[in-house]
Amino acid sequence: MRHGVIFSEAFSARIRAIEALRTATEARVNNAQAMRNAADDLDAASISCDYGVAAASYGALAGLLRITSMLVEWRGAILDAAQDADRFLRSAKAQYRLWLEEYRAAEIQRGLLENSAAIDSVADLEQVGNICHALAAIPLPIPFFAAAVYPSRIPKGDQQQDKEPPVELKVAFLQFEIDGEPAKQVHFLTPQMTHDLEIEVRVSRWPEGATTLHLRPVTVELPDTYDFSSFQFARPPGEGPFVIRQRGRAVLKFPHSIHARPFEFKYAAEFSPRASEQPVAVVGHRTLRIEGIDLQRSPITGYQAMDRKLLQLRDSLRENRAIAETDLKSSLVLMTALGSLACRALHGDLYPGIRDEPQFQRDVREALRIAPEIASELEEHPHASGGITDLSFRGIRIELKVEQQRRISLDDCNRFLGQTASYVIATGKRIGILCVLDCSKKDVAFPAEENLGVLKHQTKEGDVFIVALIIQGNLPTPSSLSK
Amino acid sequence: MSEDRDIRRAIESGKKNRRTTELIHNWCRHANVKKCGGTGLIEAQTGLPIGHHAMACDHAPASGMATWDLADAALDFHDRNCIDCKHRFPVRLPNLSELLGERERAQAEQKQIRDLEESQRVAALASRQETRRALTEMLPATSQTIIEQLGELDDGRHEDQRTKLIETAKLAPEIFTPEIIEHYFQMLEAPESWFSAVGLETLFLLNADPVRLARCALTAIRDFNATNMASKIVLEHIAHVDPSLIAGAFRSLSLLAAPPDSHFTGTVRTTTPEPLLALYHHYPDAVKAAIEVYLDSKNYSAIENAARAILVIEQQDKSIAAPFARTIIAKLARPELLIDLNELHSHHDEHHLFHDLQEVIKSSLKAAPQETDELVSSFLTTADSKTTLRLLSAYESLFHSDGWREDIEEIEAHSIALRRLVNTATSMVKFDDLWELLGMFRSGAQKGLEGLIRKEASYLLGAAILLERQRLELANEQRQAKEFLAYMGINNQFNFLVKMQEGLVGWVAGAAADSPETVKIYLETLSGIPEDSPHLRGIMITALSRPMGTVEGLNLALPALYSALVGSSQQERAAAIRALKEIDSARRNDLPRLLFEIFLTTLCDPYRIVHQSAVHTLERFSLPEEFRPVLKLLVRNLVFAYSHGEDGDEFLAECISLYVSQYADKEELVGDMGALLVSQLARMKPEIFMRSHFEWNAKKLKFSPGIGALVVKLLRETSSDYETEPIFRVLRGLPPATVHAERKSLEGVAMDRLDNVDSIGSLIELLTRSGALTEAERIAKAVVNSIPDTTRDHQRRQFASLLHTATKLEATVAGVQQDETVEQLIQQWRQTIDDIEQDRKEYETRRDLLRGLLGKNQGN
Repeated sequence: MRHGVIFSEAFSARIRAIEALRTATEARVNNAQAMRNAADDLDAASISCDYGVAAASYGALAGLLRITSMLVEWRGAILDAAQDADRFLRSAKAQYRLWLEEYRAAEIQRGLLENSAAIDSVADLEQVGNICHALAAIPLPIPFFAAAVYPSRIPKGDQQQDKEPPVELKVAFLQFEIDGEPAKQVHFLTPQMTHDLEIEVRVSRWPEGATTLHLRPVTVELPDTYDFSSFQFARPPGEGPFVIRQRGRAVLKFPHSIHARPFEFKYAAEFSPRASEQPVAVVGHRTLRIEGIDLQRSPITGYQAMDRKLLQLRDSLRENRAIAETDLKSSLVLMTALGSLACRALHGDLYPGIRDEPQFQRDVREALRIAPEIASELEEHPHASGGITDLSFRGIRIELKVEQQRRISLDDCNRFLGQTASYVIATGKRIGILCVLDCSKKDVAFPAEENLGVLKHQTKEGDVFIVALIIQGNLPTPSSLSK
Repeated sequence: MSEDRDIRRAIESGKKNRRTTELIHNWCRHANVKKCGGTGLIEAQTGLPIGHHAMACDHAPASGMATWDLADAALDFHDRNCIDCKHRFPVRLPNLSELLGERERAQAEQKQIRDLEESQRVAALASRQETRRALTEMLPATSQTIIEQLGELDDGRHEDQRTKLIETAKLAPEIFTPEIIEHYFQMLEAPESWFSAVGLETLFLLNADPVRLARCALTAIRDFNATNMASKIVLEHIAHVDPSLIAGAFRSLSLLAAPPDSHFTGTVRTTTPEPLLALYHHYPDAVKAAIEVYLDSKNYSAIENAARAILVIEQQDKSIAAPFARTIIAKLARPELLIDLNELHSHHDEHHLFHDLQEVIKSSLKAAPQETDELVSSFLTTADSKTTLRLLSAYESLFHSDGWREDIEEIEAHSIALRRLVNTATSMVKFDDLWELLGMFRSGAQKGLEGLIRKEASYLLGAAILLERQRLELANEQRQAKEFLAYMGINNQFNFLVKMQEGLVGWVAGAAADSPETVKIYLETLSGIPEDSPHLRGIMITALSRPMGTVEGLNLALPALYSALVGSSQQERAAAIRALKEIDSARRNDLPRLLFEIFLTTLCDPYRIVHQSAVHTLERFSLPEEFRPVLKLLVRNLVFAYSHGEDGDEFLAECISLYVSQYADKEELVGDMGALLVSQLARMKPEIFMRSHFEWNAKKLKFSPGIGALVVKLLRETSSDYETEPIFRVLRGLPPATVHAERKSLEGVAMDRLDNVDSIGSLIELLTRSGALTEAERIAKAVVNSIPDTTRDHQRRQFASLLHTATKLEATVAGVQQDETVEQLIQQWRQTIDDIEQDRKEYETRRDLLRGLLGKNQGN
């Protein structure tokens, strides 16, 4: 909103400044007082301007007028042979340095800085007129609107100022212990079993009027799936800060599926009654991530070591948020089926002798179709990136390879990474599967879980993750080892 | 009813203005009429000049005033400018001389009345002087001074003379003989209004006959004379009051107790309820009888007085309203039969009276809720929507607190009123007028009603469910509507109904904040709503943010919110996101990380409603810092995705705004990304960009390629001050080089709006700042040339000349122009300033704004 027009008053001051500067270009004129008056008028105009740049420029010119008025005084004093005439010059230069400090970085008309630079090096009388001429030749923005005038704020009473603010009310979570051990980042709890849960917090001070501090678990899980204690603390004796500790119980009522994320319980702090002051900050480790998969009672593949490895890979893949949740789920289904196949291959020597890729593809296809979660959704030879992928499940590409010549490790699988990743990228995914049958001649077999891992393929748009699995075939018979 | 009267009045005023316009045009060839302000619906429909208009003339040095009745403005203008005008060019008769003649005749009639009143006053004074002369002869010398003082008072009516008489009564009561006291009583009983204050106070000081004095006091109150003193006497001698006089004085008693509202805001009326309250305390039957008589009347003022008296007495007797409830309900139900509202009553008057009557019903509801509700109910069965609105407004007013930030104290009437209002809402077919009544549900419930809402939680949520059927029917009608107006009507109803549902749910959700039991009821109701009602489920899910204000509430509500967030219904996902936006800031820190992770997925949800809600939410809902890189990527993806068409520009503007303010770094905005964002904004309709944090975004993008052209384009395409002000603020913040590059376009903009002082002033500031001195000079010159060289516009033109001189001077100083010297331009400047000052002095008196109102015009 405009607050009136200031133009004619402000520009009248500007005209007086131009006149004063132009008059001062004459060597014999000493109009220092007129220059100072013009500077005062410019200052008054500057305060009234709404446009910041114009206001600052007018203020800056006012400053220069005062400085040049000292130069004009200096010139007059020299011409009049007055005593200690140089004091005016020294004053002008000192003032100019202060002026520069104030306006060097300010948003003003650049000409004011450029045309005034000569002030710092004035040595003879002729320069004074030149400087005045240069300053009078700087065009300035024309201020048109008046600045808004707001009533000044009522100062705060002394009492308010003197009062020391109380210590910030903070609740810091110091420790969580489950069954006597510090809680891990993802802690495993046996479902349907009662566990101890111990909590330790520090409270910076106890708010006035508060009777109890409640620490309650906040979670998105349905209430009948867990039973985690809420903690209540009455005001401890003495002055804060207080460190308080309490023990409760934690029960998970149902086991988790491999696809489920861990339960997350975030403990929140609240004083009661609610009308009392509440914590401004709740800090520290206050989130419990609880895993409730029971590998004994509900195995994933039936091979515990492989099951643990699958969970480990799942957690590391979840860390990367670029992989869509649905893709991760589908990949886990495949990883479970293929992990099981790798274990069974080792267990029962499913792939004796040397095989080629088509044979291995048939084997894998059959093995996957046996899994009810995959079955009909497994596609064979879908096209992607101008090539033909081997198998695909809900858009997750499975590239199959066979190595007949030499033993292969996970690091060696990097040579297949580019091809697999290009199929994955072409499908718009961030995750794919590479499954290699190692049917080279070998003296000894390795545990199946050691041949399962995640390889990364880097692109401009971020990493593509390839889950690599080596299935061991052509296993030595135990009797051959004793020869 | 009242609306019809107002429309008729507006039309009559328009016809009168049309006639005055003709008289003005006939008065002088140079005279014309100027409209001031906007055009209303009635004016648009009839074409009549309704509203504020003013007379204008190119040869007039002073503008007049704009008035509703153009005749007032025309006479004022005539007195300022036309009396000694040498340019007047009469056209024909009839003209303004008709209005001037009418004014003269009216002034002559007023003088005649004043003369007659003066002669009557002189005769009455002579008669009183004669009485006093006769009385003087009967009095001792010491008492004769009283009669002399009375004579002086009668002649002069000065305050000093009154004081003198009162002081005499205090200092020398013995000189007031029985003859004088009798004379005093006779004057009071006459009654002589000028004497009431002195007479009552003197007799009160002298302890004169209390019965007769109380009667005189009540008579004075009746006539509204010396009411302060009369009230004091009534209170002092309340036992001696004659109850039969109460009815006569009732109007004044009511006005004293509750004076009508002032039309001027800020004027405080003094209330004197004590006499009415004291009389009610001692003579309740007489006061009630008076109220009844007034209420039975059809007269507007009588009914108003009765209603206001009841409201005053309510302070003393809470049950006073109940016996009159039937009469008042009937008046509100049938105002066209039971209240005389004439042409002089505006819809404001009608509204005020209805408001008073509704307040009485409210009082009755508080005292006897069941009985009053039954009475209202009997009238509602045949009531139309307007009548329903009038009757139930009393119910609605129960839900307003008496003072700012005061809690409501829950009483039995609240429960009855709540159920009545909710029943009305759920049984209505159309909400044409009831939006006003049910609007209370659209805002949050008043504090103090939490207990009531918790008790009625199931009922209120049930009502929201019942409204779902009406909503679906309206949605169906909306789809079938073929005419635009019909569509808009249904659309309004539909929106109102949705707001009503949200309000009902919001009340319960708000009251559930401290009540786990209510949260459980809420969640049970939510789970009971079938999944094929995603709209209502969505409302309830969004409102979950309210109970989540406490840790306990948060924990109870989170599973439902989470389920909605990961559920299959896109409407519920969007609703859950909206709930996150509204969640109390203190509780946001307590949200589990899992929820944030799920929130991220909603930004790439294929459904627009979901990812758009997520972006809306991001404006207020901040995620932990660790999610920032992913958020940046996801928002940027949305910017790219929406950059390919106009469909979704509103949302694109929002995404750009979010990206620019939250995630973009400086280097990015100076480069290709900045250019892309600016080009997308430039592609949109200006109003879209302007609505989306325009100033903030433009500030962030001030170094981006193309920003100057974009802002100038916006300036060119907008016209109202409201819109151009922020654009100029942005232009001021752009680097001078950017503005300089756009100088030609800015000059073009200025040439299109030479009569807009704000735009011209701002553009001159900007262009002279950026060094575009030639363009600034050309604009200023064009402004001078655009103003006619007439007496009326002389000042304006001179002011424009000043601006032109200033721009020329800056250009000359800089060496850009050399047509005139600096000295010549300074001389020009001073000459113009002198000319303006001379013009100001010459016409100062004529231009006095208040000249007409203060009667300084020659005609007055």
